[in-house]
Amino acid sequence: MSDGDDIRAAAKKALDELRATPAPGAKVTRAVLEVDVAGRTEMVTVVMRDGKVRWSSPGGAEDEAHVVAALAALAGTAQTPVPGDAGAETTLPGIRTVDDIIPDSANRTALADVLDEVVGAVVRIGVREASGSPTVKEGVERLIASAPSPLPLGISRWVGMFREAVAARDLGTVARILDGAARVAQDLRDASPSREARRRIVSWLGTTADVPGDIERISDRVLVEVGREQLNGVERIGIERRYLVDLDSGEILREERARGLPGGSFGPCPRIVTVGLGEVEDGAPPRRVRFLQYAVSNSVADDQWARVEEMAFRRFGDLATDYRRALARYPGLAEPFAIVAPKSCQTDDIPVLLDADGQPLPIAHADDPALDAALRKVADGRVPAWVAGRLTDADGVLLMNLCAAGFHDGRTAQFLRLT
Amino acid sequence: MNDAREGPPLIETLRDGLGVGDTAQTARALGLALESQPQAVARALVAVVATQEIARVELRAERRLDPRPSVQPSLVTGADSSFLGQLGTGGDSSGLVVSALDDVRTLLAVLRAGKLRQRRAAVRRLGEILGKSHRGVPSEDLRRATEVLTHLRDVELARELSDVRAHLPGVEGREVRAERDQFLRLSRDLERRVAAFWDAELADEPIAALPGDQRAMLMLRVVELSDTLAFHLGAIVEGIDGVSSRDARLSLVTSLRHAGDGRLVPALRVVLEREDPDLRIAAARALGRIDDPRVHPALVSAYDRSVVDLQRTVIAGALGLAGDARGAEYARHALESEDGEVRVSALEALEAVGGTEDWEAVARLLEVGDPRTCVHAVRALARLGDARALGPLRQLREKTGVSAMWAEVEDAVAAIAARLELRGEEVDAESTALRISDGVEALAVRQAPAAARLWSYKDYLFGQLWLALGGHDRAVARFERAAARRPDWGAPLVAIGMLHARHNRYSKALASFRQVAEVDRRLVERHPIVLRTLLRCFLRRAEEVERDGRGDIARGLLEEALSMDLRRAPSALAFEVRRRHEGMRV
Repeated sequence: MSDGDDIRAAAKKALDELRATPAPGAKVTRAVLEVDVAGRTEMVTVVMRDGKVRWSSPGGAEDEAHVVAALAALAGTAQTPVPGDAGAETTLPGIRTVDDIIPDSANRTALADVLDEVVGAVVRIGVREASGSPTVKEGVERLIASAPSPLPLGISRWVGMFREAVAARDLGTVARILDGAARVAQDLRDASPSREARRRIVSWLGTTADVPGDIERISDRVLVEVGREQLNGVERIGIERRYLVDLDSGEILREERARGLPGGSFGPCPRIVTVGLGEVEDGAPPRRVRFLQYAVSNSVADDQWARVEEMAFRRFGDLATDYRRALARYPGLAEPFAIVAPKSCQTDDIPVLLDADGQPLPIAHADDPALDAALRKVADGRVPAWVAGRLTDADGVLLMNLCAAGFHDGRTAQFLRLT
Repeated sequence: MNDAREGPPLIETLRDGLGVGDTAQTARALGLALESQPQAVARALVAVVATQEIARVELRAERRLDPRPSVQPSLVTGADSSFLGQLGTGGDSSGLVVSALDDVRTLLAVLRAGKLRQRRAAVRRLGEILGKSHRGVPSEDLRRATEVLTHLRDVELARELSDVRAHLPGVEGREVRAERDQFLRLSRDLERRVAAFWDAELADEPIAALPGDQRAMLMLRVVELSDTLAFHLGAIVEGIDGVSSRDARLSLVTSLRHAGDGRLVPALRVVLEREDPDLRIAAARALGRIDDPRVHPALVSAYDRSVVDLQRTVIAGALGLAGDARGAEYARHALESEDGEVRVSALEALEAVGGTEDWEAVARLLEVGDPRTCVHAVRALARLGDARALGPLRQLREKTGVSAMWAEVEDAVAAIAARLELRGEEVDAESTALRISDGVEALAVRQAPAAARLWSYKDYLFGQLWLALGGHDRAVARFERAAARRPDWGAPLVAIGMLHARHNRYSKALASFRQVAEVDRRLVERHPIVLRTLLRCFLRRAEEVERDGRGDIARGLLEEALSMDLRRAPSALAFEVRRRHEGMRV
């Protein structure tokens, strides 16, 4: 009898003792299994999503034997297959590994065609008239209809940004967003997309993209949430986004959830998330993260805030370079987020953050003028130890949309959530 | 591929559309074949423009500000040219500010008649005056200020009053300091439990598990709570704590109405933007009372998007508290509504945005049979401050037998008198005098014979002695005997009620207190400690019966509590009783 049989037999016995049957309609959609193969124990998470089973384990491809054993236990097969030598066929028939590609070329082509149509329609009509154009509106609606269900947040956010830019008749931003769509359309048609193309597809479609290497499994990480904001998607304020800093690598990750839908982790802002197991999508920066196993602490220690401050940009000139690079690779998809440590802060009317060279980083005042007023009020003449926000631009000027700030209050750190 | 060619720049082509220009020319400018498909031209055009635009992005020393125009909504102010209408609170640059006033009598009148922010500033200013050297301030004024600050029970000013009272000498100051110690202990304990909750050691959300009176004490002083507790509250408000139901969230957001803490603004803004109507309404009420720059634009945006009368009138009121009168006309219109809820929210809004011209429309609602509408109409008249409302208020005072209503009317008359004083008008003593209703006086006349009074007093003293010695049953027996000998004397019944309350026997305590109220209602309503205990019993008993699924009985208990004059009750407790009652009504 395999281990899988052992646990099933034990579960059956427990059910008999309970004399209970599952409630009508009860479904198991996620299972976390501790699997021991040759003395090495790993946690394998198996999830049902869109009618397909997906799995993850901390070691990724190295844990194939653990994954197979876990799937076999769930599938109820009498014999748990033993993985053979590297390169040999070891998986159960019909079960995907992370390296498989399941192309859905018909859907992808349809999506690519709709994207091209939207781009073509806007360019034909012109940005000046696009916001009232039924053709453009219909194109966007067809895009939403052609997308996988539930609507991937990447597409939802693209639609939100597109509508905002078209309504504002912001030519530069519209061009960038349309360029992003045109590039994704091309990538979707490409049979063997490049790494950058795959990242663009993943940014759009998330894990529904089914592209190789779309997911990086992470474990044993400590992240600090430094800000969250509500963004427009297909619906107004349809996306909640949280920004988390990896205290080890300094990478900023984003966690997103759609309005009114379950998903996303629990916890206040700020918080510490200790990741037992998570998935990071290999897409445009900041990369999207999902927590499969995690613990939350509501208290961020002073040394952890100090670590956040250490990771902040001190020379703002570097920010502009990184920003241009991200946008050139992922136009209309990347929304870089940065933490900066200003040397000084002018607070005459609208606050201006200055680095050690006197280089200013303007604050995006137009989008939400109250945020900088709130920062000024709380700062009360102090210079923030760090300021975090999403980068954007207007008329060739790099701007920061404020999200949060940190202060030194005597020997302790003070956090200010702005959005 | 560049713009150095004949025809308009590529960005203009994108602006005006390929349809109106020469596609072949654009294709040539983009380096494409003349016969290129429009789709290919479109792709190339957006790619070139995007690349150009991205390359332009940089940081320059001379460009320090966002080049786009601000979308900050402007503040719509009313046309009140009176002293109060012009009086700022210190945060703005107007000439006349509360923090610069030195005249105690003027400050006391502002405290009675001003808008919320003016009243808050007046308490702070009075506290400053009492706290520093009193030279130059008449002793009579100081005595009056101390008396008013000591006895004022206004939930909207609870935190400011507590700050000032804590610095007062004597019993009052000691009591407040003791209360503050209790708050600190409670918040430290809660902090530990909240940490345990996030560490998954506790399954239940700790704030929801608190008794109503403790919860109210914390929620009125959120500003004094640690960041971790404030952020925890934010997580519940946003619905991301993982356990709180929608009703629990609604209950919390309504509890936060008077919190006034800027740390809650992000979470409340999320609720205001995207939650169900009840939560949005509660969030708007809480936001209106927070002095934070993010509040006004959020409320304006919500007001512009609201189409439902109830939500719109509540947001109009919240905007009024934030100093914006744009909802005044809408609130006036909503007074005519058939829907009682809308009328009440319109009255609430007019408290903040109404003018003296509204007094008549509001006074008409005193005739409506619904006591809730009547109470809100009285409060609105108090804030409108028009002397012509004194007549209808006096009539209401004479015909009502509910002491809660008397309290409301007396406060309203005092507020109007204060406003008249600030306007420099003569306060007519006749018009502000209220006749005491006959009911209470009549009860006080019956007196027991002298011998019975003597024996009764002896039993009462023995009861107190047994109480001191720990013989509770014997003490109760003595008190009961004293009450039986002298039915017009409430003190023994109060002692029984207090004893039961101390041992958490709320139903028995209520029975005793009800007997006292029948004999001498004023003994209960005018004695702060008795009133506080009674109110706590009502609240705890209501919680008990509600847990047993008897919501109607719980509501009845709270209604009974609210029929009393609660002006001497702790404001946190009175607010919690009102909040619970409102919640049950919804």
